[in-house]
Amino acid sequence: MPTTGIINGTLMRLYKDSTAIGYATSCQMNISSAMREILTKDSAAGGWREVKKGQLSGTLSTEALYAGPGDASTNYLFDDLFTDLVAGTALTIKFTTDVVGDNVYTMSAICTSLDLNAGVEENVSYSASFEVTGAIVKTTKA
Amino acid sequence: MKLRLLKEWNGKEPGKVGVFLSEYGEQMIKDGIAELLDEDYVVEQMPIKEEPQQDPVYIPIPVPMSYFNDETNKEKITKPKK
Repeated sequence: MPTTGIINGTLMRLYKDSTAIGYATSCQMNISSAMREILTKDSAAGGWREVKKGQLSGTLSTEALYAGPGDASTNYLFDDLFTDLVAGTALTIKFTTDVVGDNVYTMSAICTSLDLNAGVEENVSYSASFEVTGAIVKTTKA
Repeated sequence: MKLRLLKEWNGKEPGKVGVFLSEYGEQMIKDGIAELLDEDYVVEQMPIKEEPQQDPVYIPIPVPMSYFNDETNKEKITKPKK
């Protein structure tokens, strides 16, 4: 049964293949459409810009707490993303609540940046950004 | 769902715990790679930052001296009759 009402953001998270990106505190997916400007001698007269849909693109980002190799979890962590970024590996990412009937956004994405932050008396945290390559597919979890 | 590895998986040793998509997790259980800890589990336990506790601040309020006139008198409290 799908989630009713507004979905709690805590439950919606990024999974690499089927493994959660660990200790995430927030996840974002951005989908945008570039616009083609239609400018001709006929349309320029009124002074208003005309556009039509261009290329679609997507990005992902997440913020998470950092855990090193000593962490007792199987989740996808900073070190795994580091390896992927250096290798330029395209990862299969799913953005979902994992609840039957809810949406699952599936895409292939390459990790483009990792920012590791270590402040005095603060949790070590990082943010990761991904560029989607190809289409973002929306399905319903069966 | 939350699973604990029973066998080595993707270079991770047995005993490690993680959050998996349910479909994939069910297959891991069937294959004997992992055991189920919590079917509805989505978010791992986050480390909690200790917030410093502030001591209560007592602010002296000025009162007239007459406020203390009855300070030495015993309060007339009577027990209610049963």
